[in-house]
Amino acid sequence: MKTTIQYGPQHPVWVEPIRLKLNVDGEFVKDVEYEGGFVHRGIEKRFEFDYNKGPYLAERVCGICSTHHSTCYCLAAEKTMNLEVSRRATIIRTIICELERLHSHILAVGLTLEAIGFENLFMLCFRTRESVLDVFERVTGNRVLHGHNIVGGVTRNIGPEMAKEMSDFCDELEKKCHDLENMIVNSYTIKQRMKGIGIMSEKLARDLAVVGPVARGSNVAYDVRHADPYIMYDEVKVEPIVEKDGDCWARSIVRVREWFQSIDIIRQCLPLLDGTPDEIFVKSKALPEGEHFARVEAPRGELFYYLRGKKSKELDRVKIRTSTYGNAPGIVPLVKGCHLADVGFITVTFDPCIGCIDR
Amino acid sequence: MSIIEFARKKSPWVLHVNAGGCNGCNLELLSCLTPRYDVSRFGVYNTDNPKHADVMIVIGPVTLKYKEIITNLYNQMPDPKVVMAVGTCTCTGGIYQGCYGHCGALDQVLPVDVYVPGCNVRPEAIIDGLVLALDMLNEKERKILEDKKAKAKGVA
Repeated sequence: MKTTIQYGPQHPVWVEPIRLKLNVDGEFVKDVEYEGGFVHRGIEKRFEFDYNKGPYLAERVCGICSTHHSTCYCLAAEKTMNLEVSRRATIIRTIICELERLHSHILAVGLTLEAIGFENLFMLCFRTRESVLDVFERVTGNRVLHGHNIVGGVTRNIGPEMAKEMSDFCDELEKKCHDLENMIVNSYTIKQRMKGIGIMSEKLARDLAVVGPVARGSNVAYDVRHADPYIMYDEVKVEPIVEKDGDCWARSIVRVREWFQSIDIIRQCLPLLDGTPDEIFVKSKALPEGEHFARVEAPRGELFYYLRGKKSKELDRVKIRTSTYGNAPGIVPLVKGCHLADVGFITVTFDPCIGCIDR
Repeated sequence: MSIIEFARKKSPWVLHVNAGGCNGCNLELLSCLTPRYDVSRFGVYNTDNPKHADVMIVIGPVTLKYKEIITNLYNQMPDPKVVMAVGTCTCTGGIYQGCYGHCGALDQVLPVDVYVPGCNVRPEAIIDGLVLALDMLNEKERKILEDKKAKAKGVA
């Protein structure tokens, strides 16, 4: 018997609204229709305002990868003005970006575990995440939206004391993350539930051009930090982390392994701060002119900002292609043919951030 | 204090609605429910069913597409109910003022009882707002009971 089920927009599995219209035959999903746009506010239009206030706006596109948004905007804006950012500001940006990747990936793994009903480990993940937020609060003054980037540098410095505190934090967090990893990897229940579900083959991943952990879980070794190094990543060695299977387990394990990669990058960056001059902000003499783009590797994948200036304070156009927007087409072929019970779970392993998709 | 009032004060059930906006306040609400700021020790339970909820927590400026759904959810909630606007953009439109895709603020769509400003809000502020919402809930409860009594007297 065929039935149509409305999955969403207000649904317990997702924190944010998307709608899937499922055609169900018994327990299997035969056809899916994806509807988005519930969170479309039209923030791109708002960017045509003042280039200096752009980073502030860019952070409000999405609260989870906020620093990546503002960093990407700043990189694009600095290119249009031929502005050279000081070395110390670049190092600080790298550290904050990696901290943010940590908190985002811990959150994503936690939410995945909640989707399969493992509430206890979800709580443990969130407790670990709070310690990352504490460091954010110490460094930038805010927990989620940091307000740390401006065009030309950063607003707050990281002194030697803070650097020491951070390296202690890295040791502590690595221990906690190892505990979490052991619990996840050695759990028979989680493995049985996650393996072999929602398989995205390498060909499909390449065809749909998905990005980030979703692509890397399907054996596509694409990471912007490695392919096109920005800020500090040409000095800090980054190798893309790849898993072969392409199922929900592989996607989650990519995130788990990236925790340790991020901690390692922060450790490499902290000694670079010693002896670097204290200049963190360069004032621009020119106004934005011409068109440029920048891309960064946000926690969910490649993030792209295109910016066009008209030699005045106002910008002509800003275009954002977010990482989850690139991943969204992958949801439909994976959900097609799966069990009804797996629909929410498969979408959560994509780490959907609807605020990003719809903007 | 009636027994219903007592029970509600001990355990308000919360419906979490994201009506647009970035994820900042969403995450802080999730932080509220998890070990650091554990609100479940006050009996707050995050329900998924609007028919069971007492308090509606709305996050984000209500987008034009979500307007109909949010009124639907509000109408499904039983009386007495309290609506909480969390975050600056929910209270006034905030940074999204001037964008074309949203209604401006939550009070353009629903009657709002508690405002929790801040971009983004801290978990402590949300807990403060919840405590305020509880008092309002009991006030509304009392009013409904009094109305019922007056009606019964009028009939008799």
